[in-house]
Amino acid sequence: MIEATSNTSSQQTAPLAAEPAGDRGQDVVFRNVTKRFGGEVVAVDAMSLDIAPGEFFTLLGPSGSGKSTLLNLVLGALQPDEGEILVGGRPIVSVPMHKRNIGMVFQNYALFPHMTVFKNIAFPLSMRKMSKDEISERVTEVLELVQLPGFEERYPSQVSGGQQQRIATARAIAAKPPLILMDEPLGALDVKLRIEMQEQLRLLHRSLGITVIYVTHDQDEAMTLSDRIAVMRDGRIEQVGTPREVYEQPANTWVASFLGDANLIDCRVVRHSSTGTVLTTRGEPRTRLLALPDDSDGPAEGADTDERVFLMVRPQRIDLVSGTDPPGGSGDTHNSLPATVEAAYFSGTELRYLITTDQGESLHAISSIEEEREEFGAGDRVTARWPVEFGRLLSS
Amino acid sequence: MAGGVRPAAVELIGVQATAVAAPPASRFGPALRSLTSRYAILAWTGAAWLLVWFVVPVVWMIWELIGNQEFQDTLSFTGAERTVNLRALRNTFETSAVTTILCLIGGYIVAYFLVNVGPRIRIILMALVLIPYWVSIIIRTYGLIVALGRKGIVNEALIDLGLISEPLRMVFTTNAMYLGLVQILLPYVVLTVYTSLEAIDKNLLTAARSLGAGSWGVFRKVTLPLSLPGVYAGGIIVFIITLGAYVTPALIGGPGDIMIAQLVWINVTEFGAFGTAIVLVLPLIVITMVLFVVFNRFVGVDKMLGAGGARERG
Amino acid sequence: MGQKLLLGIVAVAILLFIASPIFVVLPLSFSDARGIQFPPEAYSLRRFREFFGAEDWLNALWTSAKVSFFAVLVATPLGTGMALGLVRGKFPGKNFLNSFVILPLVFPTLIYGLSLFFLYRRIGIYDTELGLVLAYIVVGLPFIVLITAARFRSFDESLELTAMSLGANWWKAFFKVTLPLTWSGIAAGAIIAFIIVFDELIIALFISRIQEVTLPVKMFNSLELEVDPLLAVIASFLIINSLILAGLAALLTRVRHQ
Repeated sequence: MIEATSNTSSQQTAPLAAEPAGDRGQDVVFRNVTKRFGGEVVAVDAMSLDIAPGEFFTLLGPSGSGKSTLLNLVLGALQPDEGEILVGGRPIVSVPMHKRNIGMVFQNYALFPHMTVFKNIAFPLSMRKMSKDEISERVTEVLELVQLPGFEERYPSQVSGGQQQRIATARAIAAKPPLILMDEPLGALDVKLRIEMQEQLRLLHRSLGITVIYVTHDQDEAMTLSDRIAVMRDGRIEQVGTPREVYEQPANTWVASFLGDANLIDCRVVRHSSTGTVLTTRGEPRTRLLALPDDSDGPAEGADTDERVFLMVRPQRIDLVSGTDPPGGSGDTHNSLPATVEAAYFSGTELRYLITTDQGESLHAISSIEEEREEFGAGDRVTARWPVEFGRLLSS
Repeated sequence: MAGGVRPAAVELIGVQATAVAAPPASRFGPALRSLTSRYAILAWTGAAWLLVWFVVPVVWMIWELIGNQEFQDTLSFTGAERTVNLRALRNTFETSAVTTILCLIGGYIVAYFLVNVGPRIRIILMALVLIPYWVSIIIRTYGLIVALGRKGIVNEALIDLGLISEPLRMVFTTNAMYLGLVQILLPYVVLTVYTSLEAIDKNLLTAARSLGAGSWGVFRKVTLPLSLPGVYAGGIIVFIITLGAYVTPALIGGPGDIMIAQLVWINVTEFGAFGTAIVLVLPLIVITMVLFVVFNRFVGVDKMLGAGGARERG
Repeated sequence: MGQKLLLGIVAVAILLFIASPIFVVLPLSFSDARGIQFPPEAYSLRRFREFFGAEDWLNALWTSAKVSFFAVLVATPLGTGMALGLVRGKFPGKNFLNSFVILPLVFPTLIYGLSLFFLYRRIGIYDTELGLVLAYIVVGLPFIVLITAARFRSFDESLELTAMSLGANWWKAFFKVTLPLTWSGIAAGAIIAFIIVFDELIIALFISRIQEVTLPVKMFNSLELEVDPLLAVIASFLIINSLILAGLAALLTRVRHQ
């Protein structure tokens, strides 16, 4: 572990060798793909999805959400019960696994323990009947690409976890597949190493231009790495979007809660107007809140009058000001809720408050310590304020 | 706006679910080509071999002989022959039951001790269990004959101790047979019980103790119930094997200890009476199959693995 | 403390009782006496010389070795394939096959032997080596399936999947990745099947009484007549063989591949 850490940090800034063109990524299309286990349990349910060429696409979801199953369907380890999968426009469901030319990195790396690093990486090349010279040239090339030159003659058991991960990646890209699949490839590494490897992976992806389908249950990792994320639950896709979209404009309360902390304020729709939706809290005392019309076509935009909805606000967006009189006049662009501080936690980089609004709802508020804001303690009366545009209306 | 909330997921995923017509459910095309069928073929090939060379001979024998006149005659036997057959049947069950109980008691004691002893001693003692396990049953029976013989170590020792003056007749008695059966079958119970005892989370025992249970309480309320799968597995294995035991009763059992297996053997090799043999064998088959199904349902094949498989038959 | 001591004494006594035949047979084979006497008064290798000069015993040994070898030769690929299918496959009837394969283990061999006696006389392979081999394939198969299946179960399937995703077809993936990493388990299974089959008595009693006598049958016959001192030598020889092979199998199951 120590070896890997020093190794990567010293070489981290080294420019990556440019990959020759011609192995650009291909698009992946899922059409109505369904996979059942044991005839009844639906692991993937009539899923349709478009992944662009060269995209770093992440399937994010809790365990059992069907993300690994989906990956195995692309890999060919599983056969869908219905539907088709196209890679570069070519249907692959009936193509045997070894002819799909898709790279795969498993969480445990699946390095062949009885082969040296060289033999491991040469494996896909020798399967393609390449000449000895070509093979050794290519192995050297990809080892440099993952910044492990000179590791050829070691055995997998003789290198660290982080190095094993990079060797597995090198092996997966050795035959220049247009698509690689990664199933929690960093899941076995400790936090520090994982963050370094994330950076490496991103650089590698950029230099290769390859399409990556990445599976993880770690939302931070998904945010850091991905061009787009599909949030999965119970074999269905809840939402697809860029990390920003899914975080700031979650499609529903489940996605909002799954992707980090979310304050969900229980509200009732009063009326829609051209400037937004007027709401009141459902709890007493009823307080008027405002939500802006949402250009992303939010899920609760069409909510009927009197319908129950949730106003979602991320804790980082909530400011606390002392006293319970909302400042500003009629032109105020903030929502305000009077509240009492229950607890305050210091976590090094931020201050995290747990507050209870007068309606009885528990909310989180986070302020960065650099902001040098007024600090509060338990029992203080405050007003929680956030700019109207940072609230998002979600159906109940 | 009467439509209420629209399902977001469908729209956001980029492709309308209904826009693409799904290909017809291709249950057979890819399924046949898939890996699954290769593995199915591999598994069924082995099974087919067992079917042809194991199931077919047994079923065919039963089928052929059950219509046999001799079979009918045997069923309608009265008098001495009927008595002999019934006694062998009763003897078989009695012997199996007694052997099973003896093995369970002895095997449990040994397994319990093995779990609670240090690793070094455990290895040595485990070797004492496993080595006989790998030695042929004839050899073990032979060893017993030698030990129990008129000039054997047991008689010599008893005479030296002054407990007896004349050597005792110990071979060819019912007790000798039990001694032989238990000696051969005890390792099965040791191994199955040991496997389930070792699997018990030691924290449970500590927890039980902290809740006020004494040693005996912990054993009775925690250890014993949790080790029952191993006890059942070992018990069923021993019972089934003893049902079909032939070698040990034949070589060191007493004249009154004739069991079904021996009677079958005599009927076939001495009288050529296949029909009678089948009458005797049928209950054995039925009971074995019933116990096998019970075993599979309630104990599981993996416990069998724990025992390394039933090695031999007494 | 006293309880534990008592438990220990009882347990060790039982263990010594289980192992006692071996401690009796081994010294006896080196006895110099003519008859059976234990413990022997003088030791020599006389009996071993007798054994290696006794042609009928050597013939039986040779028959057993040959028959066991060929049975294991067929049963090993058959059982390995079946284990692989049962561990990896998902197909209808799998649960049934999982139980079916261990049926020959618990089924009374007496009945199986009887049925083969009946069958072989009809199809003309009674008292032949072929008949013994066919029977012993069935006897050895479950052991090979159980032992290799355990190995395949602990084998990381993602290695095989990776090999295939890298362009190896199923056979190449098996021979280049799966087999090199599991051969020791398969070998252990084959050795154990060999020990089992080599010691098998009851089936052989039914189907090989005259021409093709296996070693266990010859031992049984001789035990039935009288307690031949030569038996101790053969027994010792077999004990040592079994223990060497079982030790080898145990070592093989511990082989780590890099």
